[in-house]
Amino acid sequence: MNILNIVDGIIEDKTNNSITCTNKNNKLHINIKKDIEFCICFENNKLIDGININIDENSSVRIFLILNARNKLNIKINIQKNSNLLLNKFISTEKLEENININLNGINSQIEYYHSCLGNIKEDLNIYHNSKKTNSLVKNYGITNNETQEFNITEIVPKGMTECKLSQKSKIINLGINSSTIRPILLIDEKEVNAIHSSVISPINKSDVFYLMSRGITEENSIRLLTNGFLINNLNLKEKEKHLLFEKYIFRR
Amino acid sequence: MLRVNNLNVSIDNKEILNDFDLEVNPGEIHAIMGPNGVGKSTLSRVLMGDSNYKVNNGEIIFLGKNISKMSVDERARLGIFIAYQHPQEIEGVSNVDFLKEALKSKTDSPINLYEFAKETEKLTDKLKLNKNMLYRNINTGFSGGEKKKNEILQMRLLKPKLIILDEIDSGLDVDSLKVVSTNVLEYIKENKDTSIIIITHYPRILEYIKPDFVHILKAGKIVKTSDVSLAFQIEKEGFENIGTNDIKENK
Repeated sequence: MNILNIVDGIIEDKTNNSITCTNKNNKLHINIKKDIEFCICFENNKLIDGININIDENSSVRIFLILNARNKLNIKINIQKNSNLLLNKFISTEKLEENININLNGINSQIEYYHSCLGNIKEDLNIYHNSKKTNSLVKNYGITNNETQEFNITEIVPKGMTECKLSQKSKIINLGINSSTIRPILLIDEKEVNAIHSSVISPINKSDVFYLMSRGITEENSIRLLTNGFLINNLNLKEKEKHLLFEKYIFRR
Repeated sequence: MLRVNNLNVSIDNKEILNDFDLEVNPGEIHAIMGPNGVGKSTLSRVLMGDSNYKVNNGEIIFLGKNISKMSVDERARLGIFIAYQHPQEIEGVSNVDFLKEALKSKTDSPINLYEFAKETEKLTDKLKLNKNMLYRNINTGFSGGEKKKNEILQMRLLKPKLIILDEIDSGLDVDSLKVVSTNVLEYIKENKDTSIIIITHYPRILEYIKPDFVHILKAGKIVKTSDVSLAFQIEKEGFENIGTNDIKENK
C-alpha cells in the first residue's frame, strides 16, 4: 500500500500515476483515475483543513485514513458511475469536528465507510444518493471515556433514485460518564429503496468482562482487549495495518 | 481444596442458595444434580465471584484461603475454572489473543510463542477442533459443540486446580461428549490433585467422568448425597421423589 505522508501541508510522495495530489488553500486534492489502495496519515498536521477526493468512473479504491490531533476537518468525496470506495478511517484525538460529504454521482457507485474513533469527536456525515442503484454501507464505532461523541449521519435519496441500498450501523461504548449522541437521519423520497439502520450507545458489556476475568485477566486488561477489538475489528484491516494502529495510536491512550 | 460453609446467596432479593455447605477434597469428583432453577448455576457463578449475586452470609475457602472477597480474576489465577453452559460470544477479540493474554496473566510473564503454538496445535487436535477457530473471534459463529470444546481447550491451557463443568453436556452430541470427557479425564490423569464439580441434569456425562459423590440440590441446599447410583436412580424416578424426608435424612 502506498503511503502519502502529509507533513506541514506538503505531500511527500506523489509518485503513483493513478493518482494526482495537490495542496491548494490548505486543502488536499486527490484525483483517482483507476483501481488503487493507499493510506493517508495525518499526524499533528495543522496546515491542511480539508480533503477533496474525486474518483473517476469504473474505479475500485481503498483508502486507509488515520487522523490524529486536529481541530476541524472537511472531507468531500465524489464517486462517479460504476466506482466504489472502501474507506477505513481511524481517529484518535483530543478534539475533532469533522464534516464529511459523500456524493454518489453515478449509477452503481458505492461507498463502504468504516470508521472507528477514540476521543472527543463530532462527526457530521452526509451521503447524497444522486443516481439510481447507488449503495452505501456505514459503520461508525466510537469509544469515549469522559469525552463526548456525536455522530450525525444523514442520507438523502431524492425522488426517482430507485434501487438504492442504504445501511447504517453506529455504536458508541461509554467507559465513563458523558452524554454521547447518535442521530441517524434517512431522508428518502422514493419508495423503491432498501434502507436499514441501527444505533446503540451503551456501557461495555459486563458479561464479556466477566468472561475474560474468569480466565485470570485483570479488569483493566479485559477492558483493553475488548475496546481494542471493538475498534480494530470494525475496520477489517490487514495484519500490518492493525500493528501500525496498535503501536502508533492505540497504546498511547 | 474447597470448603463452602453456610452460604446464603440472593439475586434481586430472591434467595437462591440457602445455608449451602460443600466440601471437596483434592482429587475428588463431585456431581451436583437437580431440577431447573434450584441454584446449580448460581453456585458456579458465586464460586467464580460474579458480583450480580449477593452473598448474604457464609464463606468460601479455597486452598486454605477465604476467597469470598477476592475478585473474579484473582480467583481464576488461584486455580478456579468454570467451563460455562453458555460460553460468551465476544466480537472483535480473537481466540488466540485472548488465550495469550490469559496465559500471560496467569504466569505474570511473557509467554513463549513457540511453546504456545505447539501446545495449542496439540490440544486442537485432541479436541478435534479446526485450527482456524484459534484465529476467529471468541465463540462467535461457533457451533454448540465447538463452544464447549473451546472451554476445554482453555481449561487444558490454563491448568486449573478446581474445575467446574457447568452443564458442559448440554447441547453436545454423543461423539463430542466423548471427546470432551476424554480430554477432562486425560487432564486429571496428568494433574492428579485436580478436583472437579460437575453440574448436570443428566447422568450421561457421569458414565464417562465417574464422580465420587453425587449431591442433589433442591431449594438452594443439598438434600441428598450418595454415590453415582443416585444419578441413575434419578434418571429412572425423577427429582420429585427426593423430598422432605431426604432433607431430614441429610441433616
